[in-house]
Amino acid sequence: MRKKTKFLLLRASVILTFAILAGRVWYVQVVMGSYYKQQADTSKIRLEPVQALRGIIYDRTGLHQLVWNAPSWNVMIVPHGVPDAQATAIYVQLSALLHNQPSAAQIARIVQNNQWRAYAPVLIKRDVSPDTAMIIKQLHSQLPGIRADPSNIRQYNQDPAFSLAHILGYSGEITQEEYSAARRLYPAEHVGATDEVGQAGVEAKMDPYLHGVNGTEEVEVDAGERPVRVLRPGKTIPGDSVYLTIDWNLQQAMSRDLAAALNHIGLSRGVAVVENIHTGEILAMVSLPSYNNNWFSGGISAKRYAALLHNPDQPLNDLATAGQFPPGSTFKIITAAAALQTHVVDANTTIDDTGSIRLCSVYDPSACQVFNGWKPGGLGLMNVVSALAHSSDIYMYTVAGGHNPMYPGAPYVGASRLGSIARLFGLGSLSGIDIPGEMPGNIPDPAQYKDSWHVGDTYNMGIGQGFTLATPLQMVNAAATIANGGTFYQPRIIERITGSVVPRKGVLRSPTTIQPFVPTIIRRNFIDPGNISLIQEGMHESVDLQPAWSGTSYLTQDARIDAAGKTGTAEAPGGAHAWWVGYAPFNNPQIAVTVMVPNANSEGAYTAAPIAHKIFEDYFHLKPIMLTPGATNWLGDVSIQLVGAAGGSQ
Amino acid sequence: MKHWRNFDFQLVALPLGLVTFGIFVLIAISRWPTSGVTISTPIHQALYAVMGLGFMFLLTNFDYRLLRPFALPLYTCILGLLGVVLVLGHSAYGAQRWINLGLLPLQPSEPAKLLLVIVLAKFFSEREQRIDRAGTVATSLLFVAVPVALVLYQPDLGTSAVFVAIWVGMALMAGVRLSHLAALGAVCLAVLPIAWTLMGHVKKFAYMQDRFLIFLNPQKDPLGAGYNVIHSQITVGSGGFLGQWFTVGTQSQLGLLRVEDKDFIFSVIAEQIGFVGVLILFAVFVALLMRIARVSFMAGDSYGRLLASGILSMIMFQTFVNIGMNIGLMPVTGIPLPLLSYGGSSLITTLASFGILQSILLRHQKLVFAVG
Repeated sequence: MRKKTKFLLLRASVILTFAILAGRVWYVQVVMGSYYKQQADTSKIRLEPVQALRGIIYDRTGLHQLVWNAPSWNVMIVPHGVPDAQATAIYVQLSALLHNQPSAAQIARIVQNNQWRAYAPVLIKRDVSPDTAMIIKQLHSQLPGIRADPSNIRQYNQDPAFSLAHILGYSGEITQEEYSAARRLYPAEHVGATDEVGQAGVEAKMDPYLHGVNGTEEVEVDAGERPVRVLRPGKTIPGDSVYLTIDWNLQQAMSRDLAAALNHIGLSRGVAVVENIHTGEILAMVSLPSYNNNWFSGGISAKRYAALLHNPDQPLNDLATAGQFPPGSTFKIITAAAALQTHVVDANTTIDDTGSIRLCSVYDPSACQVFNGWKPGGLGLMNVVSALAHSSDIYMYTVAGGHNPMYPGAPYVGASRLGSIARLFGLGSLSGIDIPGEMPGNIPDPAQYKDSWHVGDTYNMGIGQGFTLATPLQMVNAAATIANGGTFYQPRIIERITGSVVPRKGVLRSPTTIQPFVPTIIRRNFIDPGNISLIQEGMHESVDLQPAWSGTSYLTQDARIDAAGKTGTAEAPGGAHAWWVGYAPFNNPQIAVTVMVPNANSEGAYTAAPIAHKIFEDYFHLKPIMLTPGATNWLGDVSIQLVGAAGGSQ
Repeated sequence: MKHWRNFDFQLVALPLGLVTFGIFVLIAISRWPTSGVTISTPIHQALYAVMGLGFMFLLTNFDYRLLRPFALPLYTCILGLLGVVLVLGHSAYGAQRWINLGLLPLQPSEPAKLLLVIVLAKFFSEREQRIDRAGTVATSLLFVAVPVALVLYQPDLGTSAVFVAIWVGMALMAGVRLSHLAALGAVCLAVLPIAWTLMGHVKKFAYMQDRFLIFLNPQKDPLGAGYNVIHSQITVGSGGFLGQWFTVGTQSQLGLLRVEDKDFIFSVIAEQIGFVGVLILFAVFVALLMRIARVSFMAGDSYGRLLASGILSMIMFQTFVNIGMNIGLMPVTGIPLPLLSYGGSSLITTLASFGILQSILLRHQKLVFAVG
């Protein structure tokens, strides 16, 4: 064959190939077009997403379900199934059945917004009563396009104070943004447009595990787009089970005691956290006031939500992880550790607490400022142990900022080194606990303030005032670190995860432990063991100093518990915050506890310490006893003189 | 030696136009709530297109004649990879075709197609004088037999047919005697019934039989294997004369089609653009294939001519089979629609082959002598 002939044949074969294809496409699209179009229009086979059951959340024992799924009915609408001519009448009738929630106009808007996916069922109302669902099913001939579908709704286990709400959070219908984000990560069969997803707390954080893998069922629908026959059932894989580190019994007891104490002193806000010092597990964590997260299941009403938002006590705020407060004298634990670790003091160094330090300008000796300790007459000679036991402000000022006229030229820690060591204890940064919305607190960096940072600022920092802010969770971590001899564990709320869904990786053949609990050490040995034991001793004496009740934490003194701790009364607008931070038992520590009552307008010693004592009784299963002879209420009958703005705190 | 005035812009513009259109369709598909396609699909496809353009550019600048020494070693390597796929490949829709290389899941059978073209071009061009001998034909068949056997074992009937089609196209261009081809065809026809019977007994190959039987009678298993055959035709058909043009509630949006981003992307396209649009699309394909045929005609040596016609067979056959299966003309096989289907290996290989074609054009000597 000649080359030209070959080339012609080549071109002819191209033309022929596409002529055949075009001929067939002509047949399918033009000759048979209306037939196939009709097939498509009357095709009553639909692929419908089936949401997987969300995972269950248990407490650490696995004996208590904290969140589970309850059967419920959802009212759905399929825009394509609603005949245009009857649409308004249908919406009006449906709205009436649903007691005008939502209104006919709102239903019309929902349908309008979902016309772009006309075959997909759209949620109109979640969790309607079974009666309503049955009525809708019976009226199916009058309500084309409307369906009542069986579904599930989240149920949250709660104590009377709703103490789990901040931890568990809640779930709700996926938002458009969340759906778009999920669709970028997962193919359609994993996430549906009307799925229920976690919106806050562990529900949100663990959503990739809890969500499970949706299925797609093939159903035959009637003219009104209601399923009449399941052709192929959807295979779903339920979400993983998440076990919290929370001990439900302890959580309930702590919630009850904190609520009772707050009720007694006429306050509504308070926080308590219990951590296992050997693992970083949070055993109980309560922030009051709280809210009923069951209100959020099935969509919270606008009225209830507005009430929560405008409540001056901010019940939606988790004070334990997101409340940032000056830690007050509880910070002296850190100041003492810094002073020992930087060799500013040793066990034998004494500083005379004369009740105040007069700090004068180097340039103008007449410009002076007086920094008071909490005890006007002074506490006398203090070493590191007694300074912690008596909460000596003068000692802490002197070791933190120097410039005590009685000890000219004595070494001191300084704000920058103090800040560094505070950060080693986890202050000023997020702990990384698996609850969204955690706040970092603040440890000031004097370098940022340049010339405007004064010795007085370092003094304030040394007693946990001024710019220093910490969350109760951070303080319980610090206490746990002291208690276990200097190991800073990552605080954990998730104990373990079991199931078969591994987010973004796939699905295992059989359920197993996907994420076992392994304690994570963030850092250790950053404070010498000898220095740690001096601080432990100081915290122990704070509780247990003899003669009885002479340490500032004496209201936690109880031989059955043998706690060690530190009080704090942090000056703040709206009244001083009362803190207690400590652990027990002293000789064989198990748990660290932080109690914080914001704006208690009272001292940690009188408000927070007795609550901590109750928590220890709960944890060690002890019979409740009265602490101070004759004390009948949480405040006791000790009247307290609060010192001025520049004054120290106990 | 290079003559840039011979550069064929149409050979860049036409494929790029098709690729861009394909990405646009993939974006539309990824927005449908029922589809299993995420937005990462068009993004990846765009990335693959950029990589393919890189190869195209490199090969344009690379003298196609210097490909010869690399051809056989590379071909051996890729056949080795095909073997590896059998051992540790990822299976998709019942066949093991993939090796995971992180971002790019490599499907070695795709580059193997192009490498087979190069190897055969070298082989036939070196034996121009002995092309009429049966021995030459038999030896050339060996190059095809190995990948066909490996791919068949995966089992992937479609891809092995592509290898055979490439061989037939190139053998014809090389001037193999028609009597030899006819004899070969006769042998195949004779063996077919025996192979068919044997296939039924081996579970691994039974799926091929299924696919063929269902192609003949889709209603036999409307929710199983016949599903795509029925739904692809309904989808194409409901496009009608003018198409649906990405309006709401179309058949493809129901999500009833599977692999709508790969094997069945033509169904989606046809429903959206209608018969008029399909004719325009076909015109673009024809124009593209004509440009390739032109390269074959212009090539200065028989090696270049064979390369171009091999690439032509490769692209044309795949296009025909893929579109054919979308409209019920061909049994369902896993053959992608060149330049439009989602898939890195296929897209990059196809774009790379345009680089080779350009290289042939830039270096065809005939004009050099004519001008100089």
